[in-house]
Amino acid sequence: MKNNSIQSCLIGAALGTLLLVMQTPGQGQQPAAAPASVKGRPAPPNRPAPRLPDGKPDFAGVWGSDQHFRQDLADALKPGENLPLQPWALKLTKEHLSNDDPEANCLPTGVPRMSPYPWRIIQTPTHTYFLFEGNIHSFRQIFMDGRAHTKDVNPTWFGESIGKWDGDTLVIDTIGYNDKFWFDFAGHPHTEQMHTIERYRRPDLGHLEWETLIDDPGAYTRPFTVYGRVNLLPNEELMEYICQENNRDVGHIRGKDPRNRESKQ
Amino acid sequence: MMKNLNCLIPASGALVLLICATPVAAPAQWLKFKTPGIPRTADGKPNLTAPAPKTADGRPDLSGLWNNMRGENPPARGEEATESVLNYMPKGTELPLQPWAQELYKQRVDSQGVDRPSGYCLPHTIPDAFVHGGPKRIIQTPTIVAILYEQMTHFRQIFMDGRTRPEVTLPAWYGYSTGKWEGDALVVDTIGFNDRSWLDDAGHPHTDALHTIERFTRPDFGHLRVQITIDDPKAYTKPWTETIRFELAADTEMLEDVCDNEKDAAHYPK
Repeated sequence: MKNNSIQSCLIGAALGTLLLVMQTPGQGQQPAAAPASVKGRPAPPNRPAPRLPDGKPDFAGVWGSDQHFRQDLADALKPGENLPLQPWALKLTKEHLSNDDPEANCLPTGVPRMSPYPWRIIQTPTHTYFLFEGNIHSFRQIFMDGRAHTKDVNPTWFGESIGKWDGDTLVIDTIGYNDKFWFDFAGHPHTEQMHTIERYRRPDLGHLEWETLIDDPGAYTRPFTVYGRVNLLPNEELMEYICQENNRDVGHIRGKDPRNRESKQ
Repeated sequence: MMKNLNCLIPASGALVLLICATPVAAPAQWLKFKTPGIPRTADGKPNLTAPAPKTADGRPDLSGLWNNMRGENPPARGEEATESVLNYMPKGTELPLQPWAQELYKQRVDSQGVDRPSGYCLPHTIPDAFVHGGPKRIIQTPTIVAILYEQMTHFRQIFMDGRTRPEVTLPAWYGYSTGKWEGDALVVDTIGFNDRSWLDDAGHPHTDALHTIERFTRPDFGHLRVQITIDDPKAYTKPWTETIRFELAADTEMLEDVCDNEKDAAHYPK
């Protein structure tokens, strides 16, 4: 059989471009407004968010990607803000070359970075799962069963995530990250001290919004918050994207992404 | 740092053996939290023989974390424990391989499976992921059943929304799965596989004509039974069936297992 990876990549790229187009401009703190319909696709429905039998919002569905969580995480800050990098972290960011990006080498994005591809949320009473089409066809598990964080967590790509409800907001507290993943194509680093608190809301059927507090005293001078917002993708499904199958890009990547702020300095 | 403990590569010896065994638990991390809401015996242990749970619509609920139970024909003591579909079939079973497939299987056995896809961080698929060790979590919702694998932190989707088989234009590692209920059995029909995966670590081959039918039943709270029929007329002269049994893994969770940069592949003999 012919290897269809290239075809798969092309479809993925086309989908990624479409998602870029679908992305509402601006950042997560904007009021929820119905985005314009993309040619050939309906605008996301604007009805109230569904609820689970226990009354909590149901986040289940296939969601798009937020482009601000890919090139340069500073794009997801409030306008005018900059990432509060410690000097060594700024130096390392400038030194990072794109072909060393773990994401380009078929490793997970970690948090809060996003791939350009859709992802799915599945909720159960005891767990919430994020299933990723990109991001090496992996998943993130969030414990909703009342457990506390483990002492001396073994560092991992997605860390140890504990979720709980604050009204209609799902709050995910995560520690235990490894220090391997980069925040973005720019190469912004972090350390194993990183602690994130994500707050997810579904203001209506068609939208998911969140803000993520990132506290990493090992690499940043103060905690900072990034804002995300994505559209529901009705009638879409996650396709299968196996990065390791035919990773031809990485050998062609040179230098640094010119869109990164640090690379312009 | 997270150590990849799954694949132990003995450094000495003329032939480098790759032993990918059941994942070895990393130091305790969320491993001892009691699973809430499950039936327990008087001494607090999970009651694995309690009745199987039902969903709100009266279907059996297959949700849970599952570990496969060793098959009826496990490797004898001292044999290398290669994960094989034959471990779950009566001793002496001979699969109806086409001659070319028999030859390819023999090559893979003789070379100790050096080109096994998982050695290159590629997926364990169907039935490979069930044959292989490591916990699997089933999440059952009315419109989708997801199966999450600890191994490689991969997942599989089964669509329960009434859709029919797609016209496959893009073969996939996990294929395209649709499910429906037949009484108390969830019947999952999968087509559209690529021909790159192996049916098991032992090296049983298949082609893009592979069609699998899996029947999931949960006879009691603590047990899951998956009967898998392999129908691939290009590689086998007739369909064949095996049954893999699972036990509920209570009071534990999946760990993260990321196949890190194909470090194993460099150690394979050329």
